[in-house]
Amino acid sequence: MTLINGLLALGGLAFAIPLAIHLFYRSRFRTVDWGAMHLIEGMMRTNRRRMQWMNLLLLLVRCSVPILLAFCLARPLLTGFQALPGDAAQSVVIAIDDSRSMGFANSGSRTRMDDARNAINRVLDSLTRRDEIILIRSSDLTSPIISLGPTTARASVKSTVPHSGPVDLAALIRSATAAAKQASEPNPRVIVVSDFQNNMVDDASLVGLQRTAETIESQNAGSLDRKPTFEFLSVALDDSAAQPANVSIDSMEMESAAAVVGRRALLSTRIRNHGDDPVEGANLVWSVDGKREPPRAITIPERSFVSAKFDRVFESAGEVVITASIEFPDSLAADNRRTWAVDVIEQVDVWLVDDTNQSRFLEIALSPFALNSDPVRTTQLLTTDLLSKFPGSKPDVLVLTGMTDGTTQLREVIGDYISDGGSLILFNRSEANRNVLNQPWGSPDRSFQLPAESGEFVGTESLDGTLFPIAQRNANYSAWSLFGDVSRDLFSDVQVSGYRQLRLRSDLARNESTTLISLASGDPLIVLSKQGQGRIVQFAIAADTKGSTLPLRPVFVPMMQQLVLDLAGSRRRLNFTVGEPLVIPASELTSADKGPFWITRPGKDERSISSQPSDDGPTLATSNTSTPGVYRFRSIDESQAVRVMEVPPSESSWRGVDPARLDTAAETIGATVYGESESMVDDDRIRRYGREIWRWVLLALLVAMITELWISQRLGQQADRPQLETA
Amino acid sequence: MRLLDLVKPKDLSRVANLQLLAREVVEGLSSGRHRSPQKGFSSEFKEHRPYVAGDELRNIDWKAYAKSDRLYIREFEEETNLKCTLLVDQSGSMQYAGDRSGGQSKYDYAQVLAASLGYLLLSQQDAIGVVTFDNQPRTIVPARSRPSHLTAVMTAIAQAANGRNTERHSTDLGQALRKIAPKLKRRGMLVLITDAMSDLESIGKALAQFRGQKHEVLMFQILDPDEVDFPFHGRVEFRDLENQGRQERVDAHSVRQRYLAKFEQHQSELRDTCRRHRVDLVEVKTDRPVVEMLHQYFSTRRQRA
Repeated sequence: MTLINGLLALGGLAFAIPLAIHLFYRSRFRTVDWGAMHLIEGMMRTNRRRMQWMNLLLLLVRCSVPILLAFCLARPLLTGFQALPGDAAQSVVIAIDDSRSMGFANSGSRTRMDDARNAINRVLDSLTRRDEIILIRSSDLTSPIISLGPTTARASVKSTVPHSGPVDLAALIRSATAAAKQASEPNPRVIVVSDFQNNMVDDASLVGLQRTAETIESQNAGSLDRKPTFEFLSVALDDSAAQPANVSIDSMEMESAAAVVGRRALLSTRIRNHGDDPVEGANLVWSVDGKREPPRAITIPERSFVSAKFDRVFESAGEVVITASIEFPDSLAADNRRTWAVDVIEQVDVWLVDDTNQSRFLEIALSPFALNSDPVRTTQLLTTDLLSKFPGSKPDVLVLTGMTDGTTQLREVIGDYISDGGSLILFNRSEANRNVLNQPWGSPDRSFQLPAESGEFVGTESLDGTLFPIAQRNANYSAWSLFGDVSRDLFSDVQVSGYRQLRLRSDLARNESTTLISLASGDPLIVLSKQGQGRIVQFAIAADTKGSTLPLRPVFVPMMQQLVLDLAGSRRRLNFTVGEPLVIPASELTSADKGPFWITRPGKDERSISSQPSDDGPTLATSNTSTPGVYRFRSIDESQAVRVMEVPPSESSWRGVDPARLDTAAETIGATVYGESESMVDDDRIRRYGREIWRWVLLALLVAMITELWISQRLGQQADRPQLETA
Repeated sequence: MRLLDLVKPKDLSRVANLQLLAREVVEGLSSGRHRSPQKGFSSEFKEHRPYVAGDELRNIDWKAYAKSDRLYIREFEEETNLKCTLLVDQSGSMQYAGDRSGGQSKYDYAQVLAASLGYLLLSQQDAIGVVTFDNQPRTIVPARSRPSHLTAVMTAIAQAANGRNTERHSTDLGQALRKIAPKLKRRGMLVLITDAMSDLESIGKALAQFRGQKHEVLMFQILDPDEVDFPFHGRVEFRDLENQGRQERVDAHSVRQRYLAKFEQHQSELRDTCRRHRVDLVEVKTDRPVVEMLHQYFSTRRQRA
């Protein structure tokens, strides 16, 4: 224990004063010559003993009063709590959660981010100029680590805006730990300031935290002074309060398979009411490329959602930005709008190559009659015609149903077409030469093999033989979401009696192969793969009824339509989640693949961006995508590419994580959870200097004074003579 | 000591207006205003009795003879004077003087009371005597009805007062009173002036002995207000007035309730004892003037008679 004002402790010697007074007055009694002694005789002994004790107690209390007063003024510190050198400079890594949920406002206008700023400022106020501060934002974990002073850090915190997507707590801790490693002072502090939403501390985060904790332990096994201390500062609003009103647009998607020029495209959005009261008369406003459509009033029951649809006929091809917004005052305004980029394409040109007259079902499926409009123009060709047409003209989608002669020249032409961005649908007949299919495709300098290797033909073409049941379709393939719930699969009544075994090549990880439908035996039935800039869909069965009943089933027509439109129209992914790296091929902007190029981020001015070389040609890449909104790329010839970054709907959830779960996460990493910055600052002060106990001493002083008063009254010291009763 | 040293003239005149009559028959040496057990000749007619040989002729009621033609002798009830003895307690406990009694000790009060009674009784031609005592009889002044006898009474009381500061004795009231009893042969009135701070059983025995001798006993219990309500606070050293050298230090506040309970019990037992032996008990607090107290008491006594 130490004393901050040590000299004042000498005042404790004043205890001698009450001691002297006590001893001086100890023998002073009021004396009474009394006659009726026999009436008080029995009380004498016990009363004398009690008086002696009371006098001793009174002496002790009176002596303790000046001692306690002096002790209190000397401001004692219990140094047993001191874990760090008190006056040494320290490094503090402050990791701020700047996700959208931090923008939640309480009943007033104060948001969680405001609370976070205030809390951080209190921490900064407790630091000195010599201390080192490193700020990390959850939206930008890869930014360079810069040491700041308290003043600069305060300004930086002030400019932090809650806009980004969900926070991976484990990733945030890792980044903060990496920053702490570069701190110049020992035992750096890592303070995570967040509202700690549910998705932030999910099971994956806990596993990640566990790994991070193990890594930190192993890295700091030999140097304890480098091990950071973790503190979680939760700024979530009071969870026990009622759910504040909040309406969010959770999602937006194209219901049409593709947006085609001159054809009606249908978009839908899901609007959720998170509040406990219904929302009535809120205006839903659609806008296309910034042009507002007339608002529509919608009503959303409490704690539920509604879907709203928007159809539009686009006049020209290109990328269109569509925004849906709800005009409703609520506690989180940022999630009241959502933007979606649509790639409007021209009419899809499909070449149906069939030498064996097996594509009658396909002709029907891809006819304007079947599509109820004419987004697809189908041309039937023979293999020889294909060679004559290439490379002068190219289809959007090439369908090979009855290729009999897979010559080297034909494979070279088709392979190059795929590498350049074409799409191929390949059906597999029992008569097809699998050796030819497994040969390299494309010109020698960029040849490749089909992603799925063709094996033996299994079963027979006759449906009378053994049938192979179909397993469920791949639910993650968005083009087939039109078919509804996976549990009511339309493919279940398809019978397969013969198919060619397709084996995914082991080196296909980078080609992003996906099995769209597989048999119950596990053999793939339809495989989608990316090859170069194009995509390949390989069927294990033929396009006619030899070996399967697929062409006869109702699902066949929509399946082929969705497949073709997906291959032709949505090759370019335009919509992303904030934080995802954004990479677009330079060829999308200019055929010359040469700069200069410019990028315009949401709310920012246009800046130049350099192209980066890659295997697939020059690309324009940026990782600074934490801000939701429209990102526009422009080339010198004014060609534009649009990408949209949006925040996942989980950020619209108001509730924080269960405290027990947060405690588990904190325990995993060895962190301390604080609800208020004051207690965190106090704890730090205790760790650095020890615990000040003057308040407790003051309390003891008050107790001693009250006790002295009580005992004095009991002993009647203040009454020098008996009080007369006048009654 | 003169009477006026104790009683103011104004109060004395008030006392003179009082009349203390014995409630029971008492024996006196001369005729007075109290009933006597002997029949004699006085102004108070009692009865007729038939004449017998030897009766004096002057006592024959000739009017009755004229009416009845028989000789009757008129008899009158004899009246006697009262022989009253004041038994004054001069033990140590009677020396207590509380603040509320104006510095007047219980014995001082007892002196005034005894003097007042002595003056009163002599003024109605009754005989008055004094016995002072502590643990044994100290001064005994026989009863006389001469007016000049008041000086002897006052002197006896004053002597006891002069010696109280130099000599303190504990009182076993009962034992002292029992020693006095054989000296009071003729029945009369005994006025016991004491604080009764002693063993009540012993007092009871003495009272029984007095009653057995046909004395009418009147007890004035002299109490200081401090003894009644124990108003002390804080640390107090009580020094015993009856045993020199004995002293006790107590926290008065903490013992008060127990003292009051014990005092009340003592008083209750004293009342029972007096009631049992038909002793008239008068509880007197020294903060009350003697004359006022006497007036009230005699008034009450007259109503009861």
